[in-house]
Amino acid sequence: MNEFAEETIHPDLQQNIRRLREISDNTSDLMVNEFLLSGIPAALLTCEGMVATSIITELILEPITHVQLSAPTAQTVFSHIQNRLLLSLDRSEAKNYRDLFRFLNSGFAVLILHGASSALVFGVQGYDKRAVMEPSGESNIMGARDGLIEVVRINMSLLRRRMKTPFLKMELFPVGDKTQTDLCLCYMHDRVPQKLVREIRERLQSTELESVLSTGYLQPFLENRRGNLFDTVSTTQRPDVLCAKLLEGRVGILIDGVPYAMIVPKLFSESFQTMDDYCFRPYYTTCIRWIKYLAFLITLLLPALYVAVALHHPELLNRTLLLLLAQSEENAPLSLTAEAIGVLLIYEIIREAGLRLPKAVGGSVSIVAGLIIGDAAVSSGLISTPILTVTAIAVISGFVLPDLNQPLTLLRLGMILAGGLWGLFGISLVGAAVLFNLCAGESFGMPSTAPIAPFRRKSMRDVLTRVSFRKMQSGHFTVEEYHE
Amino acid sequence: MNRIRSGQLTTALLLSNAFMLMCMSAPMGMESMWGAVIAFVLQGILCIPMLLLYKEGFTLTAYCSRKHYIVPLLFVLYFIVRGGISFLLLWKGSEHLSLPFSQPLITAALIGAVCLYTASLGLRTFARAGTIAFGFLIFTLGILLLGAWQRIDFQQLYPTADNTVFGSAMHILSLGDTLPALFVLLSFTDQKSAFSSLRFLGLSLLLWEVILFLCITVLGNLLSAAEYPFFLLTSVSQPLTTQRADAFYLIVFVLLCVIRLTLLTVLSAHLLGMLFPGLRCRSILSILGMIGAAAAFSAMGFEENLWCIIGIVLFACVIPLLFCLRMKKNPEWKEEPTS
Amino acid sequence: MRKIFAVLFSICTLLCTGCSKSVTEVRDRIYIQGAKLGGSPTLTELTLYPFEETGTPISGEGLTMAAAIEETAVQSGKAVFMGHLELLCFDRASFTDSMQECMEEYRLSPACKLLYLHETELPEGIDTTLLTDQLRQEEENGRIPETDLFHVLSECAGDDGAALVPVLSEEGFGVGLLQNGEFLGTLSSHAVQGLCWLRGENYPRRISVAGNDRMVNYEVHSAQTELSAEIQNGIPHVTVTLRLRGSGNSEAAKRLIKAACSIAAEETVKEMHADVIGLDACLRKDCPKYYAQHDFETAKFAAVFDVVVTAS
Repeated sequence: MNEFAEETIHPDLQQNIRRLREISDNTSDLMVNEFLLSGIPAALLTCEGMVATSIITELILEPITHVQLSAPTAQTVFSHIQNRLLLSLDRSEAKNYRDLFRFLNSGFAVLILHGASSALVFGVQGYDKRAVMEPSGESNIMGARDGLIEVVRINMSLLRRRMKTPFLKMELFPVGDKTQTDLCLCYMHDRVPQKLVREIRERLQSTELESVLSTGYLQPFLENRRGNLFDTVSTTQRPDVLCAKLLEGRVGILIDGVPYAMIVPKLFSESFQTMDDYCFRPYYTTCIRWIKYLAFLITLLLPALYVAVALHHPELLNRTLLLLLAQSEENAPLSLTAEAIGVLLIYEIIREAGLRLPKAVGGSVSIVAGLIIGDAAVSSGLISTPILTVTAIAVISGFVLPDLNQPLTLLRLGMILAGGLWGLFGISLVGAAVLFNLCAGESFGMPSTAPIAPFRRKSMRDVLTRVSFRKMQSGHFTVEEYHE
Repeated sequence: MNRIRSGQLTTALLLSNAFMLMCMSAPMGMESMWGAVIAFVLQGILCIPMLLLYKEGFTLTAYCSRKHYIVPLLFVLYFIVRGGISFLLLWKGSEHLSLPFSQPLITAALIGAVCLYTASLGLRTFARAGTIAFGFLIFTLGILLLGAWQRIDFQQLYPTADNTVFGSAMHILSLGDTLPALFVLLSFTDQKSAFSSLRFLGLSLLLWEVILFLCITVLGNLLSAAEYPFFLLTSVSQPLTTQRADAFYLIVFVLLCVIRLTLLTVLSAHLLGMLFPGLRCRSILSILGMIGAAAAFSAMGFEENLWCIIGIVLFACVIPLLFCLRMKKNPEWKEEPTS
Repeated sequence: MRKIFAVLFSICTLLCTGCSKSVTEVRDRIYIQGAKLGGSPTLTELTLYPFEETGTPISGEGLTMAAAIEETAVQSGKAVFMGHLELLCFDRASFTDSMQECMEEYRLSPACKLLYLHETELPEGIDTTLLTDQLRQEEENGRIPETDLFHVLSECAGDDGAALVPVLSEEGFGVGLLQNGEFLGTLSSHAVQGLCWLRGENYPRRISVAGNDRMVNYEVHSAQTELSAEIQNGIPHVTVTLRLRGSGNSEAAKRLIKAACSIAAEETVKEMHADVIGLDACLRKDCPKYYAQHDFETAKFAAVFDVVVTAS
């Protein structure tokens, strides 16, 4: 903890300014404007680049300089400003240096007066921010086009625009010793169990993090056990998705500076649901959902099954396929397992390269990878065509479930290794371990495998199928129903 | 709290039973189908004392907390012995499966390692995994039915000379070793103990009858020569032409084996934990005990016999009955310890 | 705890990697489509016919079948994989004794076709694909009863050990009977036709019957065979009920089917004392008391057959 955290604001203006400069080590972006306010020495502190200069001039400096009281003291001037002048909608008071700096560095203008042991703060933020635009990571066809941005207050407004109910509650509090990042806990206070909110709040407030720069910093504090392969906290870039989740009694966490919202708890079955599912017709959505389940199995198991069956149980393969495989493998220099793992590793390298490189160069990576390496590797006989095809199908299937990309990438490799070493026996063993790992996932008492395990027949209407809203409108569902 | 739902109790025990069904090696015939009915009715009767006991409010946690060591330790021993028998069945069965190992001990070691992990995740995780595995079992049975459908010959449903209804009933009863597990699991079940027990027995009977029916009508004359009828059934039931699909069933066999061993490990580790809270590595001890027991049975040439039935009757019926009779004198067995 | 798991699992993995059977790569196997077993009781001669794409026929011999397979593996320089075997030809009936073992050991498909070579040899350079397809077509058209490995094994495991197998002789394709390692003989074409109806597995789609002035087709849409038995005067009376649905001259068809079935029963049950129509199962099911009291092995071959054909 910083030594100035609880230090109260010094009443002597010059000493106060000296102390402020001392704490901030004469940082260049601290702007101190000294002037007389009704004859009392005062200073308006701002952080350069964080405030809108025109607003300060018009709405604060202009009215303040006209304040003339008959017997001015620091208290009467403060009281006058607070009670008679409506300089900003977002007003507050800082009692100590920690709060003062937090406000200052959040884009507030801070007014200090000689003789006052507190400071008045006015919200006049005017920093540059990204416009609200379509989320890049969660595209959809029929859903809304706006996405969360880096400014927590804008994100709050995006949420509020969709949820006009007074039951939507948003709690702002800072986390991170150094960054003092604003977190916003959002929930429907008529739907969410209070115990869940309390527990989340306590966990977030009890973190000893210095900084919170992305969702990953907080995620471990919201998970119940280590060693989970699958996330029990979900993230979204879409305010409409966040609203839907809040209506189901979940808690959302917005982080200032992060264009993602975290949602607790997360169910595994949600990885297969998108906003579009609720825009299309139910029969189509049901079909697409089953295709996604199939894609999950394909991306996880197809290369492993292929290797296991080809090496250990060729009698399971179709005759034509087996002969095709035998012919194409005739001149391959590597073992089938090594080939499969190699192709997957190369794919991961290419993917990472495509992601990290500048967009202009990123495109050429896929050309080099797909056309040059892929074609050359097959025609030179380094890699057989069937294994390349199988891996490509598995990888493409994985694109259907971006949420599960991380665990699937690792599990796919593990499955291939197990399948190559021990055939279907190995796949089954690893599969059993993964199944148990998945079932062990729990978020604040809510099992992530719900509503499949524990099984809830009623919930199958949005898991195995997607029934129409005529049926779904009745019986407001909340995740609390899954609590064990 | 480590409580499970009644549906989860049903699936967990059913899956454990399904493993024993797959490993069944006795001669089968139409008598086995009647024998299964009798065996499950008998199991239902054996359950009555434990259901009455739990209706009175008995909890195993309360019982163990009163420093009663002998009965829980006997249960631990029983689960370890049954685990050992399961390993033994796996070893024997693995000779008929397309496993990539020449040594059955490696198979056991690998499954044991996975079970250590799965058992460490606790009873609740086990119960949830059981629900998903149950779905997988149903799917597999669907595939089996699809493959076997064309080979079903109703003419094969005739009484056999070398099999009796009573003998089959006793043999199937000896495989119904999940009743003692039911007794312990009822301590962790929320409600509907009688309903979930009946559902478990009913579904188990259905499963047995389906598999027995398929084995008899599909294998026909081959049944008498089959050491493991289920494995032979999988090798001749072909959902596709010119290929055998039995390797596919290896997946469900291993999964069921893991589920069964995890159940036995979780229960024995849990009981050990209730008796000796300071004892560490309880799951490892249980698994090692099971592998040791399997090795000993293998050396002794163990076979399912009367001792199994005695064990089941003792743990599933006699002990609960004695508890029932002594319940009035020991009302503290009803309460959960507050500490 | 987790560290212990990790260490244990790693050790197991390492152990298993070293101890497991070395994995045979796809390219290191030869995939066999057809096989021919022959030789004498003391020497097994084996010719393997790989799929055209993967190799040329190879021959080997050994004291046992396993030894012969080893020999062929050595000759081809690859591991022999018989899981996709489609045709197994053999010229000694006693090979059926070891078929089940073969099926488990070499993972033979139960749908693999068997062909008994009766006093003939497979011609040099024979196309096993063609031979298999011809057999399959014979079955699909209801010209011979279904006789794959599973059926033969199942029949061999029956009480009298009699099994129906396709036979290749100098006259061409036919169907013969094997019993306890002996070849009993080839059946007449009428009997083979009758067996298709009696066994009720693959019915012909069409039969040629006499019309007014020429032979015409009777199209079989569906059929069902049912065997029932009762004891009359101490003799089992077996009634074969055949329910036909088809179009054409049904009376002529009924006469033809009835005659074929009678010939089939006469040749197999009466003359060869072989039960390949499920007689044993039928009698056990319908006359269990009689079965328990009498020497049924003798009695069942004295059974009287009555074939009832109904057509709609």
